[in-house]
Amino acid sequence: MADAELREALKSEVATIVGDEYKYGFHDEDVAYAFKSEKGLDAHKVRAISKMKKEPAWMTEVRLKAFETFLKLPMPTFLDPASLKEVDFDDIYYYMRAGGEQQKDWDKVPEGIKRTFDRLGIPEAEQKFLSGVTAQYDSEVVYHSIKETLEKQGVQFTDMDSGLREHEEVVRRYFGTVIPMGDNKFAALNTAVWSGGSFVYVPKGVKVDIPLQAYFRINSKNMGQFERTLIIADEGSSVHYIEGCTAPTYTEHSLHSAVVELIAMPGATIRYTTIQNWSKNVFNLVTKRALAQAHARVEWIDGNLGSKLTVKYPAIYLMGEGASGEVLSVAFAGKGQHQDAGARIIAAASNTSATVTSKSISKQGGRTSYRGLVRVLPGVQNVKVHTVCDALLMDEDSRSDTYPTMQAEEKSISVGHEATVSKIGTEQLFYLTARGISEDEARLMIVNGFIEPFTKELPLEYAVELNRLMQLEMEGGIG
Amino acid sequence: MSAALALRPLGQSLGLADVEAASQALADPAWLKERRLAAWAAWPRLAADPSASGTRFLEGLRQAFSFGVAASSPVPEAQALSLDSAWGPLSGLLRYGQGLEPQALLSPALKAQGVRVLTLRQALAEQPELVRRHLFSCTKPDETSLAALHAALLGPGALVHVPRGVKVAAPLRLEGLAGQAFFPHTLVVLEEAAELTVVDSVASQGSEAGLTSAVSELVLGAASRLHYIHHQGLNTKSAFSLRQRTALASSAYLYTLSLVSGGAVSSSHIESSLQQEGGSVDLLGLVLAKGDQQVEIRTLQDHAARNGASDALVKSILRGKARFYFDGVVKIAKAGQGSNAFQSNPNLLLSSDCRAESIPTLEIEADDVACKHAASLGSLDEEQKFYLLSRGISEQDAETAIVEGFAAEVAQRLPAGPLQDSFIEMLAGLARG
Repeated sequence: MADAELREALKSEVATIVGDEYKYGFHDEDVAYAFKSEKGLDAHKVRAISKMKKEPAWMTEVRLKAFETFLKLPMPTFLDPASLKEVDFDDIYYYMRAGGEQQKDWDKVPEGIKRTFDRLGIPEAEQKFLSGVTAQYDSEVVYHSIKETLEKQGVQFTDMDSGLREHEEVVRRYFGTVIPMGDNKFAALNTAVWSGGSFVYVPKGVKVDIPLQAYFRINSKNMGQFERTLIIADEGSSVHYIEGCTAPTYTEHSLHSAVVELIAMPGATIRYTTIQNWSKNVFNLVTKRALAQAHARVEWIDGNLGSKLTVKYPAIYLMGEGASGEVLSVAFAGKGQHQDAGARIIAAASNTSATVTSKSISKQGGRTSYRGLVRVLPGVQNVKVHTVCDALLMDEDSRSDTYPTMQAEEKSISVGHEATVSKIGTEQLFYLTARGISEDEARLMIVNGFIEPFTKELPLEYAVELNRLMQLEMEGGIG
Repeated sequence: MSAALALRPLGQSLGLADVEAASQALADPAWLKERRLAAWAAWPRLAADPSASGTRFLEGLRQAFSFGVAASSPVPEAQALSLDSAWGPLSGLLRYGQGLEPQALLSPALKAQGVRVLTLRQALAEQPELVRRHLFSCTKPDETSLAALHAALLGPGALVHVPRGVKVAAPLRLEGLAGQAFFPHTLVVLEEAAELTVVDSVASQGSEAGLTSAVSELVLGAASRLHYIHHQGLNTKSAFSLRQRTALASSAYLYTLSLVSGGAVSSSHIESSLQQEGGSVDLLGLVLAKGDQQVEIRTLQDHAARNGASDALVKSILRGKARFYFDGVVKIAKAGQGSNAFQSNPNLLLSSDCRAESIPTLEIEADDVACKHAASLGSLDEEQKFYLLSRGISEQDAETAIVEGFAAEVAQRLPAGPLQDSFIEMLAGLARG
C-alpha cells in the first residue's frame, strides 16, 4: 500500500472511530429505527450492522444464521445460573459503537480508574484511549514504521472489518472454521454482531520478530464489545500477538463477548498474549480457540484481572503430528469478582504434547475457578499433557474451585493433572517479616513470586506494569 | 429351576406386589411401610428423568431395566459358614441373599462384647428404635431413581451396632448374594470410641443378569474408628449401584475401600461428611475392569467442620474395551478452616480400546486449608519397566509386578495383619486380570 493510500485508509478509519453518521447512512429507514431503539437485538438490527459495514452478502447471511443459532442455544449450564442472571440481552447496545464513541466524555471515566492510570504512569493521551474516550492517534509514527516493516514481509495486520474488505477470500475460507457459530450461545452472538478485532495473516516462512500489539494499531477501533479476531500463521512462520494491556479498561458496555480464532499451519508458531483488565461491572464471556497443525506450536498467555465475571477457556486443538501447545494463565479475583478461567486441550493427532499452568488468587470474597478439559481422541498415540493449577486464597471470604476433566481412550499416553489450594504460608510470611519487611510488602512479594511463571513470559513493559498493578490490587486501591 | 420361566423387563415386572412382598419379608413397622410406598410413588417420576439417574452410564442402566427377570430365581443351597475365610480369621459372618434364609455365625467374643450383628428383619423386631433413628439418616430415598427403587424394595440387609468403647479386632464379614433384583442395605453404627472392621461384599448367585441397588449408611460416633471394605464382585452381566455415605462425629476415623471387579455397569457413590471437628477419612477405590465393563465412581469429601482431614485415592486398571468414569469432589465449607484434603486418581490404561475419564473437583470456601489433588491417565511407567527389565526380569513378569504393585497401594492404609496380607494377595490375583 502506498503512503497516500495508507493515509486515506487511516483517515477513513479515523472517521469510523469518531463516527460519521452521514457516511454510515443512518437515514436508511431500518437503520434509523434500529438506531433509535438502541437496545436489544433482532434480525433487522443484525442486517443493519452488516449493511452499515457494507459487507458482502455471504457475511450478512452468516450473521443472520448466527443470530438464529443464538436464539436457539441455551445459556451455558455449567455456571452457577445466578451468575449470568444479570446478563440481559435486551438491555445491550449492539452497535452504537459506530456512532457512539464521540459522545464519550473523559469526565465520565470513574475517578478510581483515572487514579490507577496516574499511578501506573500512563500518559493522558493513552489513558484516554484505554478508557475508550479516544483512539490512539499519537502512536501514528510508531505504527507507521512497524507497518512498513511488516508490509515488506507481506504480513497482513488490520482490523477485522478491513480484513474482510481487503482479504475477503481468506476471511471467507477461515472465518468460523475454528469456532463455529453453534459452538456456544456467546460465540453465536458474536458471529451475529461482531465488530472490530484483528485480522492477521503471516505468509509462509515469515518470522515476525516484533510482537504485534493490537492497541498500537491506529485503526484499532478500541476494544470492541464483540471483537472478532482471526490469526493465520502460514507454514513455518511465527508471530506473537499481544492484545489489550494491563491498565484497567473503562467501558460502558456490560457484556463483552469476543471470539478469537488462531490457525497455526504446519510448522508455524503463534503466541497470543492478553491481559484482560475490564472494569468491574463487565461480563466478559470469551471463546478462544487455536488449531495447531503438524509441528506447529500455539501458546496462550492469558491474564485475567478485571471484569465482574470472566468465562474464558483458551483451547488448543492439536490437529497434526508433532503439534504442541501451552496455556499459561493467571487470574485475580477481588471483591465481587468471579474469574472462571481454564484451558482446553484436545489431542487429535499422535506425538503431540501440551502443558497448562494456571495460577489464581482470590481476595476479599473473590472467586476463581479453573475449568479444564484434556481429551485424547481414539486412535491417537503418544500424547503427553500436563496440567498444574495453583490457587492462593488471601482471606476467609474468598473461594477457589477446580474442575478439570480428563478423557482418554488410548494407552500410550500420559495425561496428568495436579492442583493445590492454600493460603500464604505463615512460615514464608514469618521468614520475610523477620527480616524487617512489612507484612503487606511480604504478602506482595509472595504473590509476585507465585505468579512469576506468568510474568516472566511477558514483554518487559507488561511485566513491570503487571507487578505494579498487582501492588495496587493487593492494596485494594483500584476502583 | 426350569429355563422356561417367562422373562419380563425389570421395569415392568416390578410392581406394587413386589413392594408388598419386600415389606412382608422384613415385617415392616408402619413407618417403614409408609416410606416404601412413598418411594414407590416417586420412582416413576425419577425414572423418567435422566438427570435423576445419578449415573453417567444411563444407557447401561436402561439396559439393566430391560433385563429379563424370571418370576422366581433359583435358590442356591445354603453352604456351611466358617470364620476361617479368604479374608483371614473373622469375628463374625452374616450371609443373606435374595430368596435365601439368612445365616449368621458370630464368634463368642463378639457376642460377649455386646456387638449386635442382625439382619434388617431381626433388627426391626429387636432394635426398632435404633433402626428408626439411623435407617435413611445419611441418605434420602428420593435422591436418584435407583435410590427410590431401593427404598421401595428395600431388603434384605444388615444392622451392625458396636457399643461405646468396644473394639473388635478381627473383621466382620457381610455377604450379600444377589438374585435378579437385589436391594441390600447395610447400616453400621459405631458408638463413641468403638472400633470395627467390616468386609461387605456382594456377588451374584448365578450367571444371569440382574440389578443390585445397594445402600450403605455408616454412622460414626465421636472418636470411633471404622474400616469398611466393600467388594462388588457380581457377574459381568449385572448392573450395580451403590450409595455409600458416612457421617463422622468429632475425631472419628473412616477407612473405606470400594473394590469393583464385577458388573456390566457399575456406579458407586462414596461420600463422607465430616460434620464435627477433627474427623478424618481415607477414601480408597480400586476398579479392575475389562471386556465391556462400564464403571463409575463418584466421591465426595465434605468438610463441614474445622480441622478435618480427608485423603482419597481412587485407582483403575483398565483392559479390553472397559470404560471408567471418575468424578470426585472435595468440598470445604466456610466452617471448614484448618482442613486438610487430598484427592488422587491415577488410571492405568492397559489396552488401546479402553477409556477413562477423570473429573477431580475442588470447591474451597475456606482459606486456612491445605488442599491438593492430582489425576493421571496413562499406561505402564516405562522407567519402572526398564528398571525391572535391566535386572533380568522378563517383560511379562515386569508388567505383572508393576500392575500388582499399582493395585496393592490401596491396601497400604489397612492395619497390618492377616486381613491386609490376604487382601493384598487377592488384589494381586484380580489385578493380573
